[in-house]
Amino acid sequence: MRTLRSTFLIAEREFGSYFLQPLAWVVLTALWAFMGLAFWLVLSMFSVYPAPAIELQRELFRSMLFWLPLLVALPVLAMRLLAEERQSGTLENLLTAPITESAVVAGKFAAALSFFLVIISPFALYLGILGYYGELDLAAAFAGLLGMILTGALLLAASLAASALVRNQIVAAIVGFVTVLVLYIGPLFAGQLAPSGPGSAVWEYLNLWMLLDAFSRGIIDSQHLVYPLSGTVFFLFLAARLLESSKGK
Amino acid sequence: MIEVESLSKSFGEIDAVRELSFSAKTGEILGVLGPNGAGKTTTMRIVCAYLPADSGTVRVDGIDVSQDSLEARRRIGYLPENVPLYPEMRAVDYLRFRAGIKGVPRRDRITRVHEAALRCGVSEVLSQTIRTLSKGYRQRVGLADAIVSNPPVLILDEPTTGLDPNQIVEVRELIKELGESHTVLLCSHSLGEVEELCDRVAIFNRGRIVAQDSPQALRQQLSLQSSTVLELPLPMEDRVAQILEGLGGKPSIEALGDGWLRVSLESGEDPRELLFQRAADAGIVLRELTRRQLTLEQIFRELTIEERKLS
Repeated sequence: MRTLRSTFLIAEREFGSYFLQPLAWVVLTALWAFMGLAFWLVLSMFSVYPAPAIELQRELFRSMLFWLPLLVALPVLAMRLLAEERQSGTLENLLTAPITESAVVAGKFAAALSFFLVIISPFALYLGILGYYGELDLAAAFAGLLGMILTGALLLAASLAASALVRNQIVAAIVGFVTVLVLYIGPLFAGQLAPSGPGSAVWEYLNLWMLLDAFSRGIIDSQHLVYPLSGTVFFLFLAARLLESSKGK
Repeated sequence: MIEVESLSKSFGEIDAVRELSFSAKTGEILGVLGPNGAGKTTTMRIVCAYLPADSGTVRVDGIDVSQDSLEARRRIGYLPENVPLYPEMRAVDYLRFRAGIKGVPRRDRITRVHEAALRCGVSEVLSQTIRTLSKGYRQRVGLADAIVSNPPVLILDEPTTGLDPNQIVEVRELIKELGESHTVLLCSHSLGEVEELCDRVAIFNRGRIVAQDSPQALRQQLSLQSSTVLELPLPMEDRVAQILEGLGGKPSIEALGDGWLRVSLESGEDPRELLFQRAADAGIVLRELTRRQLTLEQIFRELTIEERKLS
């Protein structure tokens, strides 16, 4: 009960802090601009090569046009979460309060994920526009959003672990970016290089693009839930252990 | 109540703390003195469960810090050195957040924040962003944070650095007041502060406690090094030996240049009455007769420099 309350308080403070710092506003503005542009590109592509409305809707959820800017933005949003606390010394204050490392990590993660929801909130508008001018597959839209949130959670958790690893925020962002890039692009390339080798099933399993594609069709398969969820838990666990071992250093 | 028993901690090759033992009761302020790098902050961090000890035990209010660190931390208000705060937050939001994670129930938080702010003299800046506060205010916001959940044990790492003289007086008053009902571990560079506030002082040097007693007792222990100074007219030079006869020690004699002579003598017992008597009998006029007691500052230098010489 106490851990839950602490987690909530950390999340509340951290989420509020996002809006008190210029960086988050810059990232948010840039991302919304990119996403608007990506939406426009997807629309114009489909006006040249007409396809069923459901295809258009699917493209929204799996298109790399939306994800590439996110691959840069998510590590930037996560970089300060733990690295800054360590660098400025506030970690000492935080961890000498009766609060566990897990609660700190969980709270910070919850704040980052909430901010991610703010980032992808324009999707509601895009879906609204699609629904107004055409037909909307609501079930598939929910699945698509779920896929985005799960993928975002995984990438944020990885970036958070990077933030727990190093003291310098910029280094944390770079380590986070590399990790996120490997997670998102790695299996895609590996799958291309060895389409039928012994590892191909593994690459397919870890392929986030295919995962997003499946969700965008409205398919919620257990394998597509297990990977991002267990990956998120793994990275959060890692972040908590890293945080614990960095105490007092 | 804090009980520390044979605590050791090393960082790689360096022994930060070696076989350290001390305790402080409720209603007692224990001063921790020592040069930089003596292991004070390391000790504080171990007591607050921020660092694990290599060996030894720390009990806070009877709770073993390494066994039940959360429960121990719940009883400690800690003011770290340099007072790290979140600069983007308003002081009031920061203190409410801190009260929350320290387990103050939601409905009591704002009252407790205002009480703590009032005691620490930061009520008027509560709605300001911490970034805009002066060092003195930040320091006291940190102090308000330490007492906001009213923990029985307070650990204050240099609570008056960066304050102006008036604020120093106020904060010392506050610490004194808190010391009546709490256990306070006060780490300080200011010897005057420790002398004024603390019931007992532990002097740290190279990871060990080299002396631990009340400031008065420490001074007494070293009173052998107290000296007596007297000044008499220059023509009486040949009478000095007669006056000092039988007092032992080797006097140092210095001509002051204005026709007077200063004689200082190291001695354990206070020889002033005897000296006055003898001078009066011999018809010598004294213009000064004082006994210099070592201040804590000198004791501190004595103890810590001695150690350095030995090693």
